[in-house]
Amino acid sequence: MSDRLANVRVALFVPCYVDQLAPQVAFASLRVLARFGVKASFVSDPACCGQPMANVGSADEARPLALSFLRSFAGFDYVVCPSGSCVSMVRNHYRGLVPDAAGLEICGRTMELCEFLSDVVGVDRIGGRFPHRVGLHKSCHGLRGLRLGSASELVETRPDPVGELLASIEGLQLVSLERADECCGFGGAFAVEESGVSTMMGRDRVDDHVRAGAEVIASIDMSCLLHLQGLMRRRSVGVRAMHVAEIFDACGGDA
Amino acid sequence: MSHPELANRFVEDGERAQWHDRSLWYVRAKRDRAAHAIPEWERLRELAAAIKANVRANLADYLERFEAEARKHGAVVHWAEDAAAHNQIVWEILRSRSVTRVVKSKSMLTEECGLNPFLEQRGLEVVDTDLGERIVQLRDEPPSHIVLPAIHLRKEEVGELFERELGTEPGLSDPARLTEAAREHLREKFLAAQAGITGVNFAVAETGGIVVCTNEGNADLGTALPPLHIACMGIEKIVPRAADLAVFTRLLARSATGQPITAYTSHMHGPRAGGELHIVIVDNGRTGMMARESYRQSLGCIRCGACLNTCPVYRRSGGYSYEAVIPGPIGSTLGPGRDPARHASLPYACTLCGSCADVCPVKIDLDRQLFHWRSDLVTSGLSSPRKRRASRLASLIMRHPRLYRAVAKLARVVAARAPGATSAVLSGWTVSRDLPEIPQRSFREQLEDLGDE
Amino acid sequence: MSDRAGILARLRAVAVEATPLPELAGDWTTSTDPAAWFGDVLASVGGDCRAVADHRALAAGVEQLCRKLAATRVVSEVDGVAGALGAGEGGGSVAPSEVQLAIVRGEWAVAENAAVWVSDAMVTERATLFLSEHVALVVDRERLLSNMHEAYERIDVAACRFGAFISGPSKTADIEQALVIGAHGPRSLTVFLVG
Repeated sequence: MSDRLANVRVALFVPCYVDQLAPQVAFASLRVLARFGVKASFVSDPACCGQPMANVGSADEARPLALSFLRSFAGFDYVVCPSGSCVSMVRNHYRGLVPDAAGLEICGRTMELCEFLSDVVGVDRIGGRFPHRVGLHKSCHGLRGLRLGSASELVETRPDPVGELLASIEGLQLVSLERADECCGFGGAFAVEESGVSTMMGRDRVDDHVRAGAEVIASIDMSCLLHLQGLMRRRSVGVRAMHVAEIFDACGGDA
Repeated sequence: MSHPELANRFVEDGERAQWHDRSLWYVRAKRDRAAHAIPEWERLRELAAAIKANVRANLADYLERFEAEARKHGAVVHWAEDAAAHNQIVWEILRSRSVTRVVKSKSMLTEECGLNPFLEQRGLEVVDTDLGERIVQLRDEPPSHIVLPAIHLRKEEVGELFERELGTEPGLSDPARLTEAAREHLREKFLAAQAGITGVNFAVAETGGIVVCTNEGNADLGTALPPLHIACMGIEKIVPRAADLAVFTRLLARSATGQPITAYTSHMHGPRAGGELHIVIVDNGRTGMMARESYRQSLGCIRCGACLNTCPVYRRSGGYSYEAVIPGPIGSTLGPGRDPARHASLPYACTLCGSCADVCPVKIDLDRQLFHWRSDLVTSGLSSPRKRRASRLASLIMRHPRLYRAVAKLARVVAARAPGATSAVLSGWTVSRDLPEIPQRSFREQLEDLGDE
Repeated sequence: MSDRAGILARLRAVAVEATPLPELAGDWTTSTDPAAWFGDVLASVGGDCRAVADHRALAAGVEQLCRKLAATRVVSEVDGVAGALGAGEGGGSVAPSEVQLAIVRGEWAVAENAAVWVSDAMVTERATLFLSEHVALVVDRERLLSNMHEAYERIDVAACRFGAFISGPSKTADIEQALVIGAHGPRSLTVFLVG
């Protein structure tokens, strides 16, 4: 597969909160990409896609970041990002936010890590071993924003690159949840502004995973995980929150 | 009060909030089973959305056609610019026929127009006959849900209410026996009523007929017994063809409660023999909504309530936290459409999870509308100044790589040296969550370190 | 300007992108055994389906139902059924609010949702359908359809002042989501499929 990808220019976009709060996820992403023959370049600026501003309605504040993103990544064939919600911002909200002339071509080729591995690299098996019970927290922006997998609301079947890649790991047992894809209640500023509801939503998600016997909560979105992890630590819940890139990285693999 | 204040209050009673969440999730799960039993479900949703889009583009023509056909069947058609005009029309009809006792079946439009208090002030007895609506009416409360008006109440509370209002035995809480008591009480009201008021689920342009859907049969009793029937409808209730009803009747009840269809789906073309049928067509802000492209799709709403049932925020904050006639995701876009200042917190009462748009049987882009509202609220200066300042500052930092690094470094130093102060500054987060362990160096810094080696 | 003219003018002033009215033809779900499907769905909505071979079996079935319900005030609007019961044929002899069992002909039945189309043409007093304690609907098996698309293709809904799809008995779940049969209207609904 590396032959086919030899001339493909891939950039890794590491959003601000991963950069600052979970740098290990970015390193894990680079190593996993390398394992499958993808040499991704790291583009340092911008560090933000503009989502936090856009989500509170400050389109004027988000726009310069979107333009900067488009400029920085214009020369690449693909942008890979270990954050479903940032990818959803680029893919679903840049059009309309910036003029079409700004060059929106790269938006459609900005991809979440698992999606890229599955759809572009053609990975169907991560390999390696991770002998743990894992609950997959399907982040809303990955599931309903990027359509990674079948949302429980819809009567349709879609490939689920995240779940399939996790399931391909030896020893990894995906637990089934009572509510397969309910929101965790992070929601950016929502987590703070609507702290009561956000907290209850997060605790309900954690409880669902605990009841299912999960040792690890996995997600493609570190933002959901930081929220869930914060709630779990406060209550001393012994479940780990791990980004899927960390799991892919930790299980060694044999590609 | 804002949504967060009321929601935080609702959540404080943790046990009750859990119960409310589970009750509605149960309905959502029933909806899922019903939808998944129909292989062509997504095609039906697409058809429904396409029919509604066509209706929006031709609504004036369809309304005229509907009016002409309805008249041929002997109905009297009235037009009301707003809530006041609507109430006045209904009142005139009732007064000129010396009506004092009215039974009413569920209609969110008449809630929106405040018809009940308007008529009560004029000395009429207006009895809501849907059981849930009767319960909240006896409590002098508005519905907390558009399909399940009393979903916020426990059966014991209904028992206490009925003991007080209907004289049932103390301590009664069995839903079957409470329903039986309401049946007897309302049977008298039906038999004594001089007029029946109903909403309209669908109005068929090509035939001039109206369709009313209920499970209890209350709209049918309320229109089969008294000689006068007044049907109140928003302009958006039009469907072009009778055949379109197949699409909507397949979607409506399955989306609402998981039933294959409502127990009664009644089609009325003209008044019953010897009676009168008046149809009041109401705008009350709908043409304004039509003019705003970003929000136009919400006129397609068929009031099934599926977006309320699925909304993780609605389930955990209750209908009253929205302080709007229609709560939940659809209410959060309709509310600001009426009065953006009053309902400015509603588009933010949402994590943008998108579940609402995916359950919507007519595919209204609800999450996109709420996202869009936020931008409109900022533009018109109605979002909180704090939010705007924070955005401006964050954008400034993010646009300047050096500043971003410097600020991040400073924040890490502060977090390490003064965790208490950090926690206090981030109190909205730390109220329930621990802060993550802050890494010594960011990814970008670590990468530079590696490059230097 | 009248309210009517104002509303229509405002609507016409807005340029909404024109979209065609979609074709409704589709590969809609059907069944090779719609009677079984109908019966299952009717049971799930609290009703009861009885298949009867002919009109003689129908009369026997109705008689049995009357005994089960201990119904003496029975109104039948179905030819040949009432006579056997000695009940008031065509209504009239019993006030609608006093009827224990009303037997009415349904014109079409739909398997996917157990709905039966009943119209003014089939019932002397509309209220009978909703005030009676119990209702039995009689439908010819050859008028059993699979889905609502087929139903609206065949039914001219504007031919009568009133027509309704009735699916099971009156019900509510407004108190704590507990399903209660017999909210305002009939406490039971039996459908006789004849043929």
